[in-house]
Amino acid sequence: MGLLKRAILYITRKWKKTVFISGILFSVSTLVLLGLAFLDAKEKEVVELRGATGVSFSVSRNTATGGWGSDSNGSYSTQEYLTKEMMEAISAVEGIKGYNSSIRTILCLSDMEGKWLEQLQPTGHAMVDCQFYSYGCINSEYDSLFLSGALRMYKGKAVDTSIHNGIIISKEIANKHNLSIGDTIQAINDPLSNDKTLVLQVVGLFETVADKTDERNSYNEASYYDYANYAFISEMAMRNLLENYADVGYASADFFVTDPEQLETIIKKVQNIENINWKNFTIEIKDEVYEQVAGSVADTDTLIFMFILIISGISIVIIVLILSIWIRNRKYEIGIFLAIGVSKRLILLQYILEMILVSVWVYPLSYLFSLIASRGAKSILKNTFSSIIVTPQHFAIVVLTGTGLLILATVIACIPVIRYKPKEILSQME
Amino acid sequence: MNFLKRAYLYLVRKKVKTLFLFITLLIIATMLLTCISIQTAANNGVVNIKKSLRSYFTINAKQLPEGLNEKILKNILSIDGVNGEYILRSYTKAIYLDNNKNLLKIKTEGAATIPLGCENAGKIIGSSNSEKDSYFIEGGFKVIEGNHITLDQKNVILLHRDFAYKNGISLGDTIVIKNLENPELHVEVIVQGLFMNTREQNVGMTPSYDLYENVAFTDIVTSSKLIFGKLNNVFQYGDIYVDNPEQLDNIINNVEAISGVQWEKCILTKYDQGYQNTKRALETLQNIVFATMIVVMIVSFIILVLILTFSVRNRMHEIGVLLSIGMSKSAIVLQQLVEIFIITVFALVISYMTSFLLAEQVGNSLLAKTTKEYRVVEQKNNNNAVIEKDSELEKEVRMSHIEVTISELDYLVVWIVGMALCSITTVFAMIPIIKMKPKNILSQMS
Amino acid sequence: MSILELKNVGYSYDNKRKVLKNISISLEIGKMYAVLGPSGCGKTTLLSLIGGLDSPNEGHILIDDKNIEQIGLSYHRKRNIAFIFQSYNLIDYLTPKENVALTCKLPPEQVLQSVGLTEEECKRNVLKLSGGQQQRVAIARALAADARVILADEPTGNLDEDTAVEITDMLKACAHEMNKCVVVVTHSVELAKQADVILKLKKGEIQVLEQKEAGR
Repeated sequence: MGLLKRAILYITRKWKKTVFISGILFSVSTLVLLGLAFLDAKEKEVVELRGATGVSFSVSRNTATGGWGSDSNGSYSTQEYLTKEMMEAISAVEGIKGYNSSIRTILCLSDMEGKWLEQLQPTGHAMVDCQFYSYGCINSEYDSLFLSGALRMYKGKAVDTSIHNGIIISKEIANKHNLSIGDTIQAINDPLSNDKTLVLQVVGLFETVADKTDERNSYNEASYYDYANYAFISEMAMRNLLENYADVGYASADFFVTDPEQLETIIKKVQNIENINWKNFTIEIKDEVYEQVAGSVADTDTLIFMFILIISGISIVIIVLILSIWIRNRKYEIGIFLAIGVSKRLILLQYILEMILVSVWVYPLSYLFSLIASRGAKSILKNTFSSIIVTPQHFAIVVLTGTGLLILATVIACIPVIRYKPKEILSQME
Repeated sequence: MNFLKRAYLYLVRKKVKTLFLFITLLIIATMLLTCISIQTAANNGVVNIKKSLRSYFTINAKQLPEGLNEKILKNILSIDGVNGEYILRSYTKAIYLDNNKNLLKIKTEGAATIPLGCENAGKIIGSSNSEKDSYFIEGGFKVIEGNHITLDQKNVILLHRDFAYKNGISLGDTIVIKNLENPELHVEVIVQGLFMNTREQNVGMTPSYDLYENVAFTDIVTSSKLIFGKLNNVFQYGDIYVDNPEQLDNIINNVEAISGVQWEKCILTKYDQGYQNTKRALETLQNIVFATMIVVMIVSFIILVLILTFSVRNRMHEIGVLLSIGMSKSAIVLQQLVEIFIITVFALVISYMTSFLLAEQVGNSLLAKTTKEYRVVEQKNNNNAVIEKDSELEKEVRMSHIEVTISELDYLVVWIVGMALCSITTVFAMIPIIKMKPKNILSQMS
Repeated sequence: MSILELKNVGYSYDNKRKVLKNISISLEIGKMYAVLGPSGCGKTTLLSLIGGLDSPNEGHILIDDKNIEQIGLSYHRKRNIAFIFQSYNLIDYLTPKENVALTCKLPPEQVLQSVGLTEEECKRNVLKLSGGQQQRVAIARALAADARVILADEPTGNLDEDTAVEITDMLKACAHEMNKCVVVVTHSVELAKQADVILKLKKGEIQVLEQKEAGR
């Protein structure tokens, strides 16, 4: 009678025992599968956690290494500005998730008929009341006002390089002037000179979260304007509006990284960019928040890793243990096989084959169950479980290592029993 | 012979089977205990992360003519959830004089206006911790000589380097600052430090007193004297840090319930953007830990049930024999229960030690990793671009505050659940066998 | 004196195959009964019913004129019945002494001695005893129960001739000297010859074949 046939007969006729060992294998492989999925999810979340701390570096023109000019306003730096090409080259470095640089000026806004839009709490001087502190942004999402939570998008979207003539205004101003998303208004830098007037489309509204009256912001001259009187427009539009002015440029840009752990690598790559003269620019790292949480994040990361590792390790030990007892319970059968002349090798192979046959349905079932379980959890806990995915790679790992371990465990379990002479086994059982 | 003696004899004579069951139970109990302790530790890790995100709320009491005083601060600090860290601030304008009552010169080029009376005045920022002031952290200011101002100091001032040079002032000199609106309020202060701005100031609308060179920082006692004429610490703004950003709303409500303050005139604002950004990821991490725990428990449960059931079924023949000689079913079940009980007790007792050792290992690996994580960023590179850190706070090597331990409560829970589970499983596993007729049991086995 | 009575007892497996039909017999103390019949005819089933290991589909079994189902099968097995099996059915983790002590009514040492086991043999692991020795332990266990009815299912099936004879003699002594009712299911004609009454089972029905005088 062939090896395969004996194996199949055992499995089918001792079906209750087969159910038992299948149950154990199923539980353990599901545990390991889900564990692997959890590990991957944890990795993703930890990276996101680190990234969410808003680590950035800013590249600014180095006024210390540049020349100085002077005019009626006093002295000013003649150091070169950052160009769009430079910023794009830097942001193309892997690991940078976004960047922004803003050109700030005061714009006068009017409706399409040319009537000036009045600020919130106007002073009574028409030429002052139509002034809005405006940022021409490459990506308003990454402006510090939004990142710090001082302002929050209320409706619509951020302005970025895909929007050429967009504007974001406060919801208070929008309410005051009955403006909504899609409406158009006009903007001009200095109405008393021959500056261009541009038509801008309202693409978003923001609301103020921070306390604007808090004097801590007074290091920034923008503090003279109520946040509600701010506006954010497309960087292209800003350049257009300021085309009459020569000294308009990007004094500094902030680049945000996906993973703070890569910061040093990224900066090194940035510094190797050839067409930027690094003598003229400084790089400042802003990783305050990250530095504060780094220790705790690393701890939590390690803990979860060890958690899953320990469980997997222990489960494997359990399997080996159970297999040992399993084989031991078949001592009598082994004795008989040996007595009738079946070689030790073939007996071992039969048991290995039985395990493999059992795995044939246990692993796929376990994979299916894990998929269903993780999807079920996802639908209940939507946001928080979206990163837990059981992948075919996980399945492959479990199948390969699981099979290897099963074979190893079967061999280890068989050793003490197969060592005996047939007579010893049989006399033990009588 | 009673069931207790039979149970004892079985355990003692069927050593291998007993050992197997004992080891399995030990492993499962250890796994559960370790899991629980790691889960607790991981949750503590998340709590630490939330803490280290340094969320806070600001009380803006600028509209209160009497400001906020130490007593109110103490009340606030005693609210549950407030972690005791705070920064006090006040802002005003003052005229600068040397110690001979001579007016000092301020910078005027570039100012949009020089308001009347402010020809020798600058902005004064009173701070309990100047290092954390927004001018230094966000505005690009840096102390280049001397030291920052801290909570316990009094009658000290930090001046802009250019202002100091212009007026021939150095560290250690004494100057006088006089309240612009109320000249009777004046304070003598010692120059403790000089700072510089690293970025150009956008000066389109800036009045003279707001020009960087004309700004100065003092301690809270000084600003209290200067603004309120009071000797004790009265201040306009307080940034109060909390441990758990989720409690901010609650804490703010509790603050507004403090009597003796016209809270309607104050603005209380939450600052927890760091937490908001990381909230989802934190929640997911906690859920991962929780889910793992659940999976472990279910799997342990299944394995335990399977093994115990299997063990019991293997003794079917013995049960048949005992039934045939007239042993009552309850005696047979009790014997099994006693055996399982004894093994489980041993396993649980020893599992405390094994899981303790395991938890210790995990805890040790934490400390090791944390000290490695501490990064030092290069100050210069070979392309000569200067890399600066945004602030010069001294970074401490962050030692892990997370302990991986097994609490007594967890241990008790595992005990109770473990014993209950094993007993129930054993009984349930025996039910089908006990229900069978002894004849069938015996004929199955022979 | 009649102790056990079967009245119209019938038994079928799964309501299909009727193994025992309308069995009505009376069993007395002090006699050894041999149940004979071809394989699968229901001998062991009959023994199981008498011993309370199972219940008949039809009819009743009475002991001392009381229905054993009403007494309680477990109680009946404990008080009235002692079994001896072909495969001994000893508890493998108990010594002979401890196996005997399971039924507990008489002192184990005496009973073991009475079946011919030495002190040393009594302390060994039962699995290390020979077939004959194990069967003696089983008999000792049955005797220690001090039950009035001893039921033996092929007690000599696994034993050599000499040992079989010894065991048969022991069983006879149980009936005649210790005043028990001994019912033995057997294939052995030799053993059957030793019995006082032969009960022949054929096609589910019983024939009381030979009767020998009590005491011989």
